[in-house]
Amino acid sequence: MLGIVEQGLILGLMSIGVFISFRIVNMADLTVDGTFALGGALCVRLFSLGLNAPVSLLLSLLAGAGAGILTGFLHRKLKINVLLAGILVMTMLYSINLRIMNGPNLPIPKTSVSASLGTFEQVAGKDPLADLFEPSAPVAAPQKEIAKHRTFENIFLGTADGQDLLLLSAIVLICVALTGLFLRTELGTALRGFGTNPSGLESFGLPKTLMTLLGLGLANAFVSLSGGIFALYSGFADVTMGQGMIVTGLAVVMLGEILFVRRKLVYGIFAPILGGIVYQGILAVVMRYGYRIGFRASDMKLLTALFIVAVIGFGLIQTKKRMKGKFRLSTIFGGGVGRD
Amino acid sequence: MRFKGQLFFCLFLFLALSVFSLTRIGITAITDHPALDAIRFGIIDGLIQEGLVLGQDFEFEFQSAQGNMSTALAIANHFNSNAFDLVVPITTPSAQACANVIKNKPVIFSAATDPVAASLIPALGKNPGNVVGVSDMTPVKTQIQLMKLVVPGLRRIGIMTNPGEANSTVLKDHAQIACSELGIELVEVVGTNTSEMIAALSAIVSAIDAIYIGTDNTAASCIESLHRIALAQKTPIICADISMSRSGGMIGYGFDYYAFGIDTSRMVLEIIRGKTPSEIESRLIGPESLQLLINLDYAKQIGLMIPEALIARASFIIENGVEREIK
Repeated sequence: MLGIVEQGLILGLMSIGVFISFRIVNMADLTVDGTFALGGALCVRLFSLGLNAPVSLLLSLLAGAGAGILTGFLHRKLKINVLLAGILVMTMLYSINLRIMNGPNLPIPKTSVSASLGTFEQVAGKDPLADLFEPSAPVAAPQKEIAKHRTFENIFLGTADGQDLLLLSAIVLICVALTGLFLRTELGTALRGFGTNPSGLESFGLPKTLMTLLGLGLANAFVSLSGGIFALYSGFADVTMGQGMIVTGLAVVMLGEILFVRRKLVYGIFAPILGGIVYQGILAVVMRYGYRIGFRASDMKLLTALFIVAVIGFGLIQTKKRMKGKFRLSTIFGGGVGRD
Repeated sequence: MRFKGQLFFCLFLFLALSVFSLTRIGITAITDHPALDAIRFGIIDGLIQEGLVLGQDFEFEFQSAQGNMSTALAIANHFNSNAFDLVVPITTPSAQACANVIKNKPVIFSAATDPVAASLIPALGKNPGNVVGVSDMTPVKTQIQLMKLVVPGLRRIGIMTNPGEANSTVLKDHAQIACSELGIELVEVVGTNTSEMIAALSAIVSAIDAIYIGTDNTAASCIESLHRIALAQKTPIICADISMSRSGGMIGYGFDYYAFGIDTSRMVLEIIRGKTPSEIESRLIGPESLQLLINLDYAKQIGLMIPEALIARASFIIENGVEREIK
């Protein structure tokens, strides 16, 4: 139960990023799959290099913002379609993440001594076919060295006493509060206005490019931070960890909006957090009971995508109804994908 | 919906209470794949062979993470509930997720190639804690030596590898060491998915003398295509996995993943019979389980002679389209 809420909070944090790009600045940013893994990869790499966990997280957050800014740059300056720009950066990040981790998977070191299993010959002894070959001089395996002198203190303990939950809640609350404050500032207000009317804002002297970079940078900073937290929490980073995150994030955003109808807490950025927890709850229920009625975890992707389609379709009907009736500010299904 | 959920919950409780001595096993793998499925079937069949009755002595639930790390973690959380007595994660990422989430019940990993580098256990042998398991480390050096024995003047060998797979990368590093010991040049043939891998091999096949395929899931998925490309250039393939070599290798030396599952089941059985993970040694699958498969048809097609001394040691021979087992 605790685990569900913890994972929901991490997912929610990621979904705030998706919310910012899809809803606030109104851009379908697909960089997310890459930035999530970037956050995880960089955070674990920095952590194993000897930096402490908060600094590692902060640096991976900045790297994520950089990736978002790159997508924005490709979109605005090179006039690449924003979807394609996102996919391009995501593709670049795959290679970059492999470089960062120097492999596809990097665990969080638990002890100060680096270790590997060694080759089959070293651990299993004589091979049954060994007599067929001429003996050859063994070469010493290069030892991957990590900082020798230090112990690694993960901020997540993995215990079930609620400490991790407390820490995660604190991180999420701080993030939400800071973003809320930012959105109140002049620049933040401009950013919110940009999503609904980009050209109108330009006439006030706020360049589209700046707003795009700001929006996508902020969005991917959240995604990357969440990736870093995910890696620290789960104990490892893997190059495939971002796969499908954009769709999950979008589903979480919509779930949050449905649950938080008409209560736009902190400009709506609180909704994805609740959505994340509910999403993980649904996943847990599906795993526990769905198994008995022949439902498989592999069906979850289909369900998630269908859910998004249904919400968008439903939103469209609502909008049409609203157009007929009295005018009201677009509340939930107004922005982003729901709209034409 | 809510009513339905309660109904299922009651049913679940009833099931849980009615069968008290039942050991409930949670099995998970990072993705669905023939080799990984074979391990799972091996584990179940291994327990049944030892006289345990499915549904009476043990019950299992399988969850695949569908390649998604977030799902892998959710599965680990799900298995961490009281409904499960022990957990068997197959592959490195699934094992990492389970080992990090589950602290108070046995976690028996299977087919994590380097469990030490993956931070699952500090070393092979007995370790404190709740994590124990079997590594599918394979004799890379012997496999490359076999190639050297069979292919005259072997200078350059290509290794099929997906840089996104932990297991595959470990074997690539080992192959690098073995090749430098044997004075062979190792060329990485890289693909992050099957179509990239096929294209990469097509591009380089004429420049290499032999192809080495470790326990790479991507290569396993497109072995038939790789086989065709290799055959057209008269290049031999050696695989580290017997079932893969059946579908397209000239020589296979390693173990069968079904047998690997059976081997894992022995460890599961020890836990069911009351041992704790810290009393059991984490290990490799032993040298005695290694099998050698030789496809003489393949050798004939590309004009290679397999030495009699090697044929005499084979466990399986494929000749004239028929496979026979040699006891």
